Amino acid sequence: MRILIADDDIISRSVLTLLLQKTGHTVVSAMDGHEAWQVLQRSDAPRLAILDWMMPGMDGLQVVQRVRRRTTDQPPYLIMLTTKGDGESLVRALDAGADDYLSKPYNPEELRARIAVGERLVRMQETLATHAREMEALAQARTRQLLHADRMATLGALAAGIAHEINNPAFFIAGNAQTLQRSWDLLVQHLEATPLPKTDPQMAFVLEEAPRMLAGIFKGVDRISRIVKGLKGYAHRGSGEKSACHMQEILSDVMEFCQNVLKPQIRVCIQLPDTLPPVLANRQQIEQVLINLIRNAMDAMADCEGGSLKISGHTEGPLVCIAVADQGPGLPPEVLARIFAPFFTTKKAGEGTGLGLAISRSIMEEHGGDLFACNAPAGGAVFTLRLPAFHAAHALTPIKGDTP
Amino acid sequence: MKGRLLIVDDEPEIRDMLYRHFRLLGYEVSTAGNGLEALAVLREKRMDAVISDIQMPEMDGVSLLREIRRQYPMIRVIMITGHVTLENALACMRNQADTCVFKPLTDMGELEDAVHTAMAALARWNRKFRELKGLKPGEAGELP
Repeated sequence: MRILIADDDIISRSVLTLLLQKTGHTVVSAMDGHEAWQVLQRSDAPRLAILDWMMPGMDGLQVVQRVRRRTTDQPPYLIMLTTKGDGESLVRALDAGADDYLSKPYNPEELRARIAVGERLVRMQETLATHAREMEALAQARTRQLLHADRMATLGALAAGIAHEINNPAFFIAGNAQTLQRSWDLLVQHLEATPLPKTDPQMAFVLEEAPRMLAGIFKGVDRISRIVKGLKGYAHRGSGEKSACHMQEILSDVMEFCQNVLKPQIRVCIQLPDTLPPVLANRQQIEQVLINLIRNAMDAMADCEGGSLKISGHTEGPLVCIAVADQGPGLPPEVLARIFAPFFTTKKAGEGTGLGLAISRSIMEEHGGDLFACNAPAGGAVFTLRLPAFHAAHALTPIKGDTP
Repeated sequence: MKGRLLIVDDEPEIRDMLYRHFRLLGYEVSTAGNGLEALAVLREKRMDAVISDIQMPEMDGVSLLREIRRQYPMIRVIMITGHVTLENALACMRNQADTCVFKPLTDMGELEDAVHTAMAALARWNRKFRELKGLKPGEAGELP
């Protein structure tokens, strides 16, 4: 590793440099405390420094104090080198912030061993810093997720409000139309007894068109009623509770959401048998997983001229399985091994967070199901999710099944 | 005349629509805009059944229902609501509403059936009362 040596004596500097280079280190040297302090402030500063105590201008102890006053997530490991062999000086150096203390003349083996200690600590610190960065990124991703969930909840409340507001006017439009329909039927009955003169073209028009106008109103009301139902359904979607869901319905919503990622040259083929039992699931979360899988499949086939995305369903004992198969290049073994690991991504930096599949798998596991990937014999990747069927989950049957 | 019906809803359009609908079906219909107005109508006129909305200003449907149960135990009450919640339905049931109908969008059938059932139950009682008219007090309900 790179090591900074600060010593005003050229001979002891050269000896130290030679010793360090012999053990495979790269040396950056400074002639005094000022120069050492300059080097340590640089962004590419060596992570380990050996400082002579007695130097003109700024001495080694002052350098140590300055370094420790500065806050950085990767502070250097500092070894104080001095002729002062007394205990009091040792305590002063360590109190000032030195990590280690070596008195001259030193045994080269001891120097090597102490540097090895420093190197070990620096490596540990780097690992910790990397972990901290990863955790921070994970926290940020989770925060984004929560914000998204919060927005969805707000939208849900809004949808419920709109549904309620639309319901009342729709009720009296529909009610009036039904009353009008019956009134009209009565009127027509009476007219059969005493018909209007057939020659009046306007009356003929009214008699012919009025039923159609009523039918038009009923059609409109029917559509509004479906919209209101949809809005109410949307409003209940956000709640974290699990309920009996039909995969067919979930998938048809998902395909709506995915319209913008589907490519015209890719054929989408959905084969879910009608006999597929309902599952016990949080609908929104399962939608999230499926959207994620479909997006990934589309990305995998980005360079394909044609091909198809196949989504199929079947049951395995108490489990309902949904497989999403693409006709992309498939998954190399090294990718397959890590594909569900957080932060693992094959996408370009900034395009993927490496969290999509990790979160998807955690969602499926939280549901008492699982998610796994494999390559199809005919080429392309297959992602399969498995969920306990509603009746099975309800009977609290333990979920058994072998992950391929 | 099939029966006397009071429609209670704060939305005039809904009130008018139900007023027309049930008049066409042959009922004698009165209307009120909230619970208090409804009680005022009930003091003036005998009613067989009430159709009431739940959410209303001044006095809501559940309070009206409670008051009707206390003052006019014979009147049948049908609740309607656009705001479908378990709380609403439970409040209706606890206070002995005949039924709670969610404001229907495409078919008035459920509401019509509810009114029809309520009127039929009343008609049965009235038949019983007519049969008992000939009896002296104290003999009511007892076989000779």
